[in-house]
Amino acid sequence: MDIEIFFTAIFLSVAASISGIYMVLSQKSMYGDALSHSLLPGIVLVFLITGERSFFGSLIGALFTGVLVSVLIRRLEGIKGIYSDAAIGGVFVVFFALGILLISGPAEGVDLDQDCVLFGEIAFVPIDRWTIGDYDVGARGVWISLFLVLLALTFHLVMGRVMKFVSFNSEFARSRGVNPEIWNMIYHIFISIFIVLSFELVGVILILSFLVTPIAASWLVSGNMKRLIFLSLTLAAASTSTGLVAADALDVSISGTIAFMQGVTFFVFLSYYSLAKKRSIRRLH
Amino acid sequence: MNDALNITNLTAGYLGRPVIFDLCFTVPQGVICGVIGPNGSGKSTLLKSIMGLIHPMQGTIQVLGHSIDQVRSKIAYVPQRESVDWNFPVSVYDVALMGRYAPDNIFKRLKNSDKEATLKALEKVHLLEYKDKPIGQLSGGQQQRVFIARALAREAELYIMDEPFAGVDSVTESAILKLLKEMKQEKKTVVIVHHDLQTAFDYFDYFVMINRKLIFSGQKKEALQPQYLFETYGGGLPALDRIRTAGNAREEIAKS
Amino acid sequence: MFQEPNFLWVFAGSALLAISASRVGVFVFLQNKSLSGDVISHSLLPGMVIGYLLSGEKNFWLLFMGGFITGYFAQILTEKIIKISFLKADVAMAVVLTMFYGLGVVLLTVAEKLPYGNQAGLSAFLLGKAAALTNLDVGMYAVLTALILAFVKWSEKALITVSFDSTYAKAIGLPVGRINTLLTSLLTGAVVMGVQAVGVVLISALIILPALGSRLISASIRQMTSYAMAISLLMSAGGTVISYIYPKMPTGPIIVVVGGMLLIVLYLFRKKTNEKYE
Repeated sequence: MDIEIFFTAIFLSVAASISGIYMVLSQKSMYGDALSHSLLPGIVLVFLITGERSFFGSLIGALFTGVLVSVLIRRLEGIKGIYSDAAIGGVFVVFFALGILLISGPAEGVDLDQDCVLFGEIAFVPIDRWTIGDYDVGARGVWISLFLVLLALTFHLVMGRVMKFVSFNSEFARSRGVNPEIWNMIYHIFISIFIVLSFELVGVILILSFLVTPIAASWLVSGNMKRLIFLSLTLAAASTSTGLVAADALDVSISGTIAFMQGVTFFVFLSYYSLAKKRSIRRLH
Repeated sequence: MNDALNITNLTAGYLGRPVIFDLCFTVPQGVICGVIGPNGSGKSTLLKSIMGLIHPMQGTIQVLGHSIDQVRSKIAYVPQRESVDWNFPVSVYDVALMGRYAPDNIFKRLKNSDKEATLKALEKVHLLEYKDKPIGQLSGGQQQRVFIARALAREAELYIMDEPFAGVDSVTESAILKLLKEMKQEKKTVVIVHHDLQTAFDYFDYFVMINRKLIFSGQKKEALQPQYLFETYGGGLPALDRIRTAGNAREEIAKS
Repeated sequence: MFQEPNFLWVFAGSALLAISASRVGVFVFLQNKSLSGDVISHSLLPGMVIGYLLSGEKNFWLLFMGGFITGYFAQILTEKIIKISFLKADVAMAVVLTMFYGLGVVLLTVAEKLPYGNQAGLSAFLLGKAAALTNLDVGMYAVLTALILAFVKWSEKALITVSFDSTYAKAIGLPVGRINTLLTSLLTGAVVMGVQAVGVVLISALIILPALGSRLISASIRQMTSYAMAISLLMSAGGTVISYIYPKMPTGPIIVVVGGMLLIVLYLFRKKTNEKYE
């Protein structure tokens, strides 16, 4: 197995475990699904305007759509009788469709297609080199995912406290003069950046899995935040490595295998949780 | 005649944790019965066990002399008003009509008699003119009356209501009270969960007082004993006193 | 354009699809399960690929059954997670969706390596190919749509009662579990059938958008149902006409974008009374 693929996957899984935690704890995991599908038209529009795909162009396009999507969802759920999951679903499917339309029509040259957005292709990581001058410093994917680890750590250190406050008790936060909407918006922007930088490496589905599954599994068995983060990092790295090895041995899709392995890990933890619960009930009798 | 409710040794709760312990009581037919107790005393758990929504851990429940599943068509249930989403897109009539639903007609066309019974029930709670309104446009009291109309449409023998007086206006309160009187004249039985002690003695003529255990069950004139009320509502206070006395005693010993 | 047989087949196919998806979608919306369609559509991938591996070709009914089984199973797993743990629907859905889709992608790479692998066909199949709908497809859609509509009609009172007040439904002795199973099966059926035309992601749109749009302007389920049908028909008509005029534009995404535009219009003309109760 290529060492660069290995590092890219591990870095991404670790970065996502740090990033996704507030989304999972505040019960908004499907926002991740929505954002990851919705960013496409923003990226493509910037490409259409500037005529090229650049790092900062994509970033700006993604930021713009991320904010727009969050605002639209909030707007829709604010109407009585409209439930939040319908609002999330309604907005993201339209944005995704718009993105697909753009890349199959006006923006054909953007070099993105639906397969790539959904599946990604981590096997191509070693092909895309990053060169400074004539010197090859390594695969671009490794550097991007390493950057994401640093970004996630920084976000966690700077905003962790207030995000914890906001996601656990938004009403209380409001009474203390902290506006949860602004912080949630900042968080959504952060997640959008995360997704736009990583989706071409592994595809949006695996990113969603990275952002949610290890945290959900750890949440089942951890009582406090520190343990939760530590365990989810361990789980993410472990199921990513086993997924990589298995995919290599069986010669099948790497992204798919890792996503599946994460799910299997979750269900192992769920069975443990459910057994422990049953035992404690029995002890009560 | 069978008792409306006959409960023996009932222990029930959630996730293996009992909330109510070893309740034994009967409610005869033809009474307006209040189930009284403070918050967390297990009133709702009792009601859910009676309706078969949770399985008892121990004990038996007989409703009108049978197990609940045999007599569901003779029972009307009014859940708490907050238990549903009032923005749901149905009309007042639609909700009241649900009173006529049963496992044997839910997949079939309804009869004209079902429609008539529903309209009659709406008239009784003074909501006939609102019948085509979406339920989301009603006031809290009107919403409660829709739920009661749904129960009345059932033309049942036993009515079980969970906090029907909670947060309603005086019009609704007097409408419900008038209905209760009519039901008593028609020899129907009504079991009402109620948490407000002040009004309870005006509303009901039979009482079941619980605070996780049975404190009292019987006619109103016997229920008016201060000791029952104290046990139901003030049970925490003497316990606190005892703990405080024990603490003081320990300090005394430490000093000496 | 309207003499063109191909155009008519595409329109008829997507209209049938849209009608059944929106009919089921109204109840899915009212049960607060709008994203279940998304979970199911992603989760039927492994089943469809297995169906394909078993038959070695794109046999409609084998793929349908395969997709139905894994899609349905995924929904049951999601509900199981919510039931036995403290995790909420959002987490359960994300976990199940990514796991099943991952498995599907793995199986897809297996299928592509097989000698008889007509992979391009399968991939197009999973990403949607509304423009290639044939009279054969439309015939099967008609059968499935008729079935779905008949089942919804038959169980409508039960579905409304359970969606509005499931405690009450249990209290009067309705088979709530079985009624929910029926709704899940109908949803899965509509999704599996729609995936072939509009693809994994966009089939959710046919479930969600008509219900969401109609809720903005209606106060009763009856109204919601008819408006949702109208919206879904407008979506498929708009989508097929536009993609007929601009052949480069894929039909599926256009159907959804038309739905999005309708949603904006309905949002602007929404019933203000909906917001000002009490």
